[in-house]
Amino acid sequence: MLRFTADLSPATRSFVEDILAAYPDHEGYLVKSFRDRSRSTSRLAEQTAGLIGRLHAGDHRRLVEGYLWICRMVMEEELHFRREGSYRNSSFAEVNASVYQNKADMVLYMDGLLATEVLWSQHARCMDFYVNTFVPKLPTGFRHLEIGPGHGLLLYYTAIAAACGSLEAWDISPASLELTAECLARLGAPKAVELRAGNVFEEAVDRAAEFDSVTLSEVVEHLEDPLRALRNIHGLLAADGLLYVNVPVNAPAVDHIFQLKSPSEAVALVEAAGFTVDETLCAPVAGYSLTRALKADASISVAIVARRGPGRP
Amino acid sequence: MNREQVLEQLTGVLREVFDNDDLVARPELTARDVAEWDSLNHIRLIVSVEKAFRIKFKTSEVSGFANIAEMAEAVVAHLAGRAP
Repeated sequence: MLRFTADLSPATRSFVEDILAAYPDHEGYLVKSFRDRSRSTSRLAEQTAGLIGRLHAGDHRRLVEGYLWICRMVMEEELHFRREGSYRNSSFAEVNASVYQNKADMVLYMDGLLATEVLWSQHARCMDFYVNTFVPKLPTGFRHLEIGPGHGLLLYYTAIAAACGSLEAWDISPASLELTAECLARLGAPKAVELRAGNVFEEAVDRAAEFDSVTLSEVVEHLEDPLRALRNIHGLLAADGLLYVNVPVNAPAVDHIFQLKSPSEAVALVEAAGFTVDETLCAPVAGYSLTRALKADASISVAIVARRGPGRP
Repeated sequence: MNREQVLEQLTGVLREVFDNDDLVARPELTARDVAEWDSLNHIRLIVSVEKAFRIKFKTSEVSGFANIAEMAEAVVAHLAGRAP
């Protein structure tokens, strides 16, 4: 197979070549992952690759190590999922003990997730959808909240929007918030972000209608009761506030405990919390059309823009 | 079930997993010969083979087949109750 990297933009190419040097058998997957990306998705992935390079001072070794870790983990979980038809874990307590408290693995996991934002087409497409579809809908001076900001890339892309007024982020893990703060500082986010240790079940009390937008990206699958979380978020939003949700369906991972089986289930979940869904992006795993992914129960990232609207959940 | 019978049934599994009706389970066939045969689809193939033949591969076997012939031989061994 001929190397396809010559067609990639510089930051993306440098990153992909470092991955392939460590994991040459992955070329077939990456060829599919970069094939047929829109110009917008490719351009944003290049920008993201540059940001990731900035976070790691141009040294991809940790990212490569994290990416290899995440690929091995996904293979193990996929085998379990295909055999049993369900995710391995179903309770927060299980994954808290086996994953979240394992600091060495969590470092690899977070670095690996960062790498997937460029390398996995479904993640790159959702990032593009967020930056170029969701954020431009937000009103001048918008007050934004992200729940579970992780490495802070989405917060960064929100902060650089001209219309952005203020930013806040919540996470149950103080260590995760430290990582977010460190990443935002390295990225040079142009606006301050108020970071709060807490969860959507407790923090939502007395914060009614305080935000114009809320982001919940790759969080739902980690929750035992996502409907309750979404109902609380509904209350946090102003009357015409917008919600961005990104949730993968049929996507086994060691810390995924809430399984959605189709994009329509994801939409129904958001609607059950009282939202009106405006737009949906379904981004299947690389190499699959949406039709084939639905037929094969393959992983699909579902990105949803929803409006609070006048109703109550 | 002998190796030839297993290979014949494997053809159907390969076609279903890789969504390609031209595939034939030739003994020398490898992942490099099939564009859609990546690491993730390999897992789908393994589990589809397990379900088709009502067997369960050992962890050491999952990524250990050099070609379809080795996979077919492993299936024959499992069916005969003499898995490695």
